[in-house]
Amino acid sequence: MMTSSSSSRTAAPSGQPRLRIRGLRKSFGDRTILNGIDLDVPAGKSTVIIGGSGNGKSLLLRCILGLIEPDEGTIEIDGENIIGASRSRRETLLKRIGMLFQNAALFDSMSVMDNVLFGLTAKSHGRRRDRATQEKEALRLLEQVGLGPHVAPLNPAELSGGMQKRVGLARALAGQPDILFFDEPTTGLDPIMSAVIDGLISSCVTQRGATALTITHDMTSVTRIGDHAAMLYGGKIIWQGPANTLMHSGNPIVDQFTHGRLDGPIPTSGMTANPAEKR
Amino acid sequence: MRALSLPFIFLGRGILGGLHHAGALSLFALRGLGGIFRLPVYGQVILSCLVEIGFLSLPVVALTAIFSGAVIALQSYSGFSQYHAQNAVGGIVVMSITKELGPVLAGLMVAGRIGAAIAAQIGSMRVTDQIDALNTLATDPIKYLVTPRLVAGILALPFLVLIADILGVAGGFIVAVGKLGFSPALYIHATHASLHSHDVLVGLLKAAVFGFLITLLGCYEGYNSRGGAEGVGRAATATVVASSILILAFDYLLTDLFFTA
Repeated sequence: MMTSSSSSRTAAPSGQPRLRIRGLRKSFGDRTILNGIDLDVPAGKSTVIIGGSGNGKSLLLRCILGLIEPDEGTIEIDGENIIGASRSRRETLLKRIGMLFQNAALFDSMSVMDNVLFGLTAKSHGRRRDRATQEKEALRLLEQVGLGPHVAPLNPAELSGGMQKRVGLARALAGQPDILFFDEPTTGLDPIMSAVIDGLISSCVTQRGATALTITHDMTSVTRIGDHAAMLYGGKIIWQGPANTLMHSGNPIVDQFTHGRLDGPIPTSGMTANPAEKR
Repeated sequence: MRALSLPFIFLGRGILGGLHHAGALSLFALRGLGGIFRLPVYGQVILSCLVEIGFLSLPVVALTAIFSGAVIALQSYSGFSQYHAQNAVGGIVVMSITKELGPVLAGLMVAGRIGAAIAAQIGSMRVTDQIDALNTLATDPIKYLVTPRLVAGILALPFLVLIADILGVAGGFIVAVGKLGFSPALYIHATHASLHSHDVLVGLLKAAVFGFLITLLGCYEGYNSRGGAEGVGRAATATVVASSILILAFDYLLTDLFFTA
């Protein structure tokens, strides 16, 4: 379904992770959510971060995207620290990034076509193309994510959750990004639609050569899309390794989470929103 | 001792909170206005905001102006006739409308109709991650959402007030001639004699300020709304209340500045 992109890509220097996070901290008042995150995301691979609800997975993603300013730490993309970067520099970096939000975050005042066109024009890298060419490109992107031209004039509210996510993915892919972020892409979808979305994410990595970072707590998704996996717990990355070893990590916290056991080191009664809050 | 200091604690917190809010609003306004001087120009967004704020507000502003002019004509006639000063009715109508009622009533109507809509629109975009999505699409949400609305507010309100001025005077004319038995020629003459370009221009200036305040508050409250649908509702209410109060406060300040010097 996906085709490889012909655009030139900025590759990470060999051996260097595409995304490198060190000592990332973020607190809200006396609530510490991220408490010293260290994470490497290798280039051209799919990395998945798992963790319980309220553990700060989405917050971590928002810090990486510059939507929330962290208190401490560094976030490097291809060796460049993006924290404190100027607005124009960040906009340049964001043109290489695609993001699929948990609820797709489609612009509800625009049609599906206009949503995808927005992605195309916003990340056009200075290229000016006529409307007809852009519409053709938008239809091609919708086709890539398995949607026909009949959805183009519809409003997002007229689409199912799975279709909205696919439109969100088409919009995210419009700028031919080489780094992709997915925030709980299969949450709220039926198993078949989850498999479709997972397939699209895998295609982005294998066929487009993109680097992907996915936040999820869907274990089936992890095994389907992940090359590498990491677990966020207590405001820290407590485990990271190949995704195919996640279910047998040997770490009691990871094992309890991945197997959904009630007994183990993760408290299940009187749970706080975030274990880091106890500090 | 603690009980005695409580009122001062609340007062201090209130003052600090108010100053914080005013500072944040000023910075937000500067960022919004700063967008006018940065590329790209979202011409189509500005145009659609002009239609929404200006053209679609026309019916409500027009009706308000017509009835206001009509009421002033009736009220001033009943008062002035006691002193045999009925001839002043035309002048009173045109002065009231151009100096005060045109800009203020149009401002209040637009605050209710557009201020709340802007706050709800941007607020729902905030709580559904659409503003974050704009950011990730390398688009400055202030430049894309706020600047066009500020520009449209500043341009559309004077246009609305100009029409309100004309229709308000027409409302007074209809009542004076049709109901109170005034001669059309005499009424028009009295109106013309009291119509001053300075009054109209200051009224239009007031309208531009009100347009800026309404759109600024709508954008600010919407942009900073939190807590789902309830938060969006609070933002809409806060916009209408705050912009109504600010319209009246700035009306006083501008009147003091331009008409009492």
